[in-house]
Amino acid sequence: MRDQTWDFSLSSVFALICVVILLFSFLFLPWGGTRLTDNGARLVSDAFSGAPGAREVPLLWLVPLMGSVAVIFAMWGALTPERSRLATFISIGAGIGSLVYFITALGAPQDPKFPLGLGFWAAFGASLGMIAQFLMAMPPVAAAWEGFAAGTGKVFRVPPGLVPYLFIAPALILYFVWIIAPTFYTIYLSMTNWDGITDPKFIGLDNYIRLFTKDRTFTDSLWNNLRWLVIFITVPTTLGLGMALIFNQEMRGGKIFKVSFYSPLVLSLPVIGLIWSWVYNPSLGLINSFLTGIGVTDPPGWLGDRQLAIWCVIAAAVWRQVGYVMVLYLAGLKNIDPQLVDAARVDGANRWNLFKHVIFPLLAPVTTIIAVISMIDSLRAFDLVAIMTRGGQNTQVLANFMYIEAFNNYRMGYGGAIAVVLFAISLVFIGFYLRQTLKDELEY
Amino acid sequence: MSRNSFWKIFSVALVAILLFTACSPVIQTVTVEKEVKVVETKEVKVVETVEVKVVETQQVEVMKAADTVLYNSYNGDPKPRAFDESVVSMWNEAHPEQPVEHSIIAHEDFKQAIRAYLTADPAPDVLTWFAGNRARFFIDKGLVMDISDMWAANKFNETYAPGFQELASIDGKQYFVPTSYYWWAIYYRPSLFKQAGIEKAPETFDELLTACDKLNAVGVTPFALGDRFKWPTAAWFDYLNMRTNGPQFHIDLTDLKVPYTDPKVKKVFENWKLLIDHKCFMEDHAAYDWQEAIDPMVQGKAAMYLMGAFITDSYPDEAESDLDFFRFPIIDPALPVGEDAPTDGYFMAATARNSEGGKAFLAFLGSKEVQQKAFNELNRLPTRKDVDISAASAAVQKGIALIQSADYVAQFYDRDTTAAMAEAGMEGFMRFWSNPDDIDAILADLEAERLRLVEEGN
Repeated sequence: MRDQTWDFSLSSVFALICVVILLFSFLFLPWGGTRLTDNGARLVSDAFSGAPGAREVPLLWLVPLMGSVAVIFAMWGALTPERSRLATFISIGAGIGSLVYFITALGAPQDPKFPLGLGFWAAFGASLGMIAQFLMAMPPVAAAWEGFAAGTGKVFRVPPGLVPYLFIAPALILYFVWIIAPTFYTIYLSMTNWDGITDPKFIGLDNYIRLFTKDRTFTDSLWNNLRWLVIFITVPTTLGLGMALIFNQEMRGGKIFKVSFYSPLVLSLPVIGLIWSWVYNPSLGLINSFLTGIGVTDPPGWLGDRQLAIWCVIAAAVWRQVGYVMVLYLAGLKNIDPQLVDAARVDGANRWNLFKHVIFPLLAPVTTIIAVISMIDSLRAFDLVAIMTRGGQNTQVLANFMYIEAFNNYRMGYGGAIAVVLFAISLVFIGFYLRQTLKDELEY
Repeated sequence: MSRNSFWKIFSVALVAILLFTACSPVIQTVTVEKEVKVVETKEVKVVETVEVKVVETQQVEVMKAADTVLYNSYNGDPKPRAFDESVVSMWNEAHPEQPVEHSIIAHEDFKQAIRAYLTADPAPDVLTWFAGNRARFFIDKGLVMDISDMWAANKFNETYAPGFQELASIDGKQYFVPTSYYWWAIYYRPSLFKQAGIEKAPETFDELLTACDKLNAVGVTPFALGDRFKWPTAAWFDYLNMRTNGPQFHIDLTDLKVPYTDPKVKKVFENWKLLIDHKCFMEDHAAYDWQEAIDPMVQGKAAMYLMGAFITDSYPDEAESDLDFFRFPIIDPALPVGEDAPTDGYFMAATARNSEGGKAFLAFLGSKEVQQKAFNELNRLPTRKDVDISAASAAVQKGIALIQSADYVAQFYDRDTTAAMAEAGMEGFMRFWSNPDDIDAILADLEAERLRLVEEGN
């Protein structure tokens, strides 16, 4: 009877909060002094690895050990109320275990050069809280809490409509801090002449005027992005669709082909850039070795040729994209109802008419998605250019140009203006893409 | 709405609170640092009172609390990295009370990160960097610590070669510790020269053109070049400009004081075009990076390479017996001779957290002991006069003589001029390779970039 009035599930939640504070202080707050890098985790790892200048921190390892034990049992206790008594006792034990460290640390002579820091005190408080959690479970406290919650229930009760927003609040905060705020800050910076050091000076639209009227590299980059875009929408889409149609049929070794065409997608773009720079090497590369092998006397210089280089880079990107498009189309083809195809066959449609009037229209949503993804990918193009030519040989694209202006030439404001232009162009396609995907979602 | 959902909401709110607490220690650190600064100014203003003593002890305590030295370097390549790490461990063994915390960042990334380092508060204490315009840029903006006291205390003004003292100083104050440099020269394979019937290394431009013709006649490409990433081409511009117009004009041009449309600049490209017309360069050089272009030289397909002394780090050791170098030929004998000898070294951030420890470590990095070690292990040429170089190979002795006989030592195009001008300039040189007749349009574009930089005040 008495046990039922001891509310251990409440105490487990309290213990969970305490142990999160404990581990957080240990990992991220200064254990001694004021520097964030002198956190508890660093002190323990330094002491164990014998790093130069490592401090003596006897028993500090107890804190993460006990913290990990407590976090497991407190969660277990909070999730399974019927077992929470055991969980409470174990996490109290863990609290006592870490208190052993705190008592030794407080008892030891203090180093005046290295005063105990915020992290230490927070963790100390948290471990006391872990021990005090049984108070939460005591019938009078629990009853008082219960009464408090019931009496002022309206204060705590959140309107049901607000609950989803509360849940996405952390994500929204992060989204705001990392995406929205920097976007607007970049728009502001693009109207300054900031060099990364001195205070930015507001210069209005000067950066944009220069970009569109005077900057040759900008126009060249824009053209290169456009080339990329045109190739990306047409070539991989056609090739990918063709391959998807072929591999969708039952054929011997089809899986091997599918995997081999898909495999470039697994590689990261810088790796692809490296591989293709070797393929394009004019004297030892795969292409020219082959060409000289069949008797071509003066094979082209590929990346060394200002007219060819951009097409070479795009070709490397296409190589990767084809597999991606193929997989998307294969998925689309699997979704086509075989009855429709059979019905068309019964009506006497030949292969071409079957494709033209049945299969391709049914693939239309996939085609739209692929077209939009290709557009966005071609605007994002950066890695391959950075690895293969660093923007030389007339291969400059907007993203790489922005990077060079901002981080090599130290024109943050000007780089920002390029970023804003790129963002504006992308926004059109992204908006189109979102409309398409949302429409699909609503249809299902 | 049961109690369960209340707890759910409560824990979500808690996570949000925890996120915000993550910011609070940062704020605290900043306030503490500010207190220290106030203490320092007080110390200057108040003279000989009891209060000062109290303040002083407090300050000493704070100084001692920062008892490590933060050292960020860009020595990412294997050999320099091993050297860098061994220097740090030498210091840490000798100074266990003030160990160095060392971070190595890849060369290119370091160049991007340097601004963030220097403007951070507190900043890393000691940083690797380049002498010349690249350092002056930050010194002019007040981001680099004045190390004149350390310089004088360690007698650097007696032990460093005068040219390098000049490089370290602005208006009589020292900001930079130049510790090593390397030379640029035309590396060549004597055996291929012999095969082509070239008796001696070319000393004049005409001799160089003749040598190109002779090498072409026996089917050897005169010059290897790998400028996919542009910068090796800048050496050609540096040398052709210094030989055609003299070092002073080169300094003025890289300082953005002379227009790129000056007829003298065009003359440089006329000489350059002579080399192209004599088929001096390997085909498709813009398709190779600088190391890939070493291959044709090793294979005996190319005879020469205008490159820095670090070429030997990448050149196969077994082939090095057939590798020598000579000074870039003279075009106008009336002009003083300039050479490229980029100098590397160290400086401290103006906001360094541990300025005393940083200066002590800087003095160690610039000491005879470390320079001797760098010389012995990496063939880095010392900037101190008291380093023993007698054990050096004939090649190194020759390199030192090459630089010491020069009237002017340049730092290389992308270090002598601003980063933006270097980027535009090198792109212009690359355009020139593929279309030499386009030179007027190219120079007009470079001039536009120069005017823009002058206007921006860089």
